[in-house]
Amino acid sequence: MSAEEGRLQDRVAVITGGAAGIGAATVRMFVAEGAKVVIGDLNAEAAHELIDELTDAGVGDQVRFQSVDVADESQVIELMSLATTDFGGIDVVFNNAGIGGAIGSILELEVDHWDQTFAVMTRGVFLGIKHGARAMRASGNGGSIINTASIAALSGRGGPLAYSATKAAVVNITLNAAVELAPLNIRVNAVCPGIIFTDLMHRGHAVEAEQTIEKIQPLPQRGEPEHIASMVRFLASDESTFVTGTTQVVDGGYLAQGTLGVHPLPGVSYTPTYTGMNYGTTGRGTEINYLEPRTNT
Amino acid sequence: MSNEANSAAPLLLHRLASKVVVVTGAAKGIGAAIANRCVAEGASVVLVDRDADALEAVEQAIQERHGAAGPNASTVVGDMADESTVRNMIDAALDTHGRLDGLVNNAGIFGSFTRFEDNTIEAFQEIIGVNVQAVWLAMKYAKPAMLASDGGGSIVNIASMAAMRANRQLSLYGMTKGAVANLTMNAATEYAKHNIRVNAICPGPIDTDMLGNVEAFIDERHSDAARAQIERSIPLRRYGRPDEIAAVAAFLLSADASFMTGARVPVDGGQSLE
Repeated sequence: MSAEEGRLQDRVAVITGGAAGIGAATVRMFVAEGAKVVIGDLNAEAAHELIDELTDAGVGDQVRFQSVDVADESQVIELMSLATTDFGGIDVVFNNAGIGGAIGSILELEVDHWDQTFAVMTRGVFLGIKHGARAMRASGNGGSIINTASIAALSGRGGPLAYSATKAAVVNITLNAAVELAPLNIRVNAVCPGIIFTDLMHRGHAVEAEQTIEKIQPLPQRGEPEHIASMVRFLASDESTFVTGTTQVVDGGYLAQGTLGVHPLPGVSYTPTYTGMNYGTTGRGTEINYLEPRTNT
Repeated sequence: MSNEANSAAPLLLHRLASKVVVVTGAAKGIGAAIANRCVAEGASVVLVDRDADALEAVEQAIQERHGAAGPNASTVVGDMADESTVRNMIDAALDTHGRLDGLVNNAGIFGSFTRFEDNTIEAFQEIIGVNVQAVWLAMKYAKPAMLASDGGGSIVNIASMAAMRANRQLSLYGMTKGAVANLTMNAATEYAKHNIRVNAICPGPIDTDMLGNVEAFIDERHSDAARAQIERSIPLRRYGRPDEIAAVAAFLLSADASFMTGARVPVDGGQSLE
């Protein structure tokens, strides 16, 4: 630990989906900047690994973990309570927990999968704002709320149907919450990651994924969780005090290039021949039912 | 535990050490704030403006604050509508400071407050010259200079929230800012393979001399009332400060934004939301 104060020195942050991927990268970056962080996640094993890592680095006292299903209001309340009781308040909420959600053909999608997707992605963000902002109001110091949306919110075919629809909802929740909470000096912004190289993204096909990214993304380097974490750090810090209600696109230029920049890849079918549910990094994995025999791998 | 709007946090960051950044319109307002911020983060700067006296004052203040051992500042005086000014400032970065890593296209004019149909061809040409041609030319000339400096680069264009909406009696201004937003996307796409990132900032109402013109225009006799009216339209209930734009510019210039390109970042206290 350096003697210098960090950019988030002594701020208290609640980060949902903080055990893996973008969330974990943000936890590490926030802790390095002097913040105290409560990790909310369903994946206790990954969370404990992260806390062990931070404890070994001598900063274990700056983190807590609470198992949370962000779609469950009582659990979200417990999560926020842990932050206020252990760390004395909440300055930052990063509503980042998410799953791949219902996937596959719109002709076959199951209502239950659709509803589960919206419960985690939109009810979860709503509850994080509701109870995070209540704690911020109680402290009277204002605060910063950051929601993970996606470039899928801003384009067609940027992700699965249900996932994209929930992310579009997150963008709008951000706009409305920003206006309503501005008088409390609570800023609310969304981050739209582009293609970020995580297990959730490449699902075991790292090499193929990297080759595809090279073809369709303007910036040569692949997107890493840290690229998003540094935007979240900016939005959480005093560097962004006049920034609220924005949707920050961090995508290596993917959307800026427009549709002509993306060349369809040979052999890639635009019509899904499967249906199922991707539970993200919650430990439940992905269930896929193929609608017809697979012809190529 | 604070998120105070007016607490000028002590600057801890030094993200632009040994970088060279050109800042246009650096004599006043947002441009001066960006120049000061770049220097505070360790960059050397080329300051560009047509107002020689005000520019000199900014340069002097930087030299006094940082001394001979600190980052360098140099000046180029000229009108941004002249191609020679754009050439000179890129040359100055290479000749005086040895490289070019960052470019902030901030210089801009409002033009006159005129009804749509009353604008003249002369007014059209004038505002295009400063607000669009200079931005385009600077990006054009910056590319070879950045490539020669190795390590990519970062370009920040100051557009405006006016790019996204109609602007009563400021139609030409809004048009030029829309052009800047679009040039940003195109430069971002074509320069990406060289790791030159291009982003735009879209400020809302910021407390500067330039906005003072707008207040006076809205109500010449009651500029305070006009200001209050604008403030009421901003969810955060206040104008932004130039240093709040400078902080965003520094972020975009730095490696903290290394995966961002082609973005248009609103900094408007939420004004565009309602």
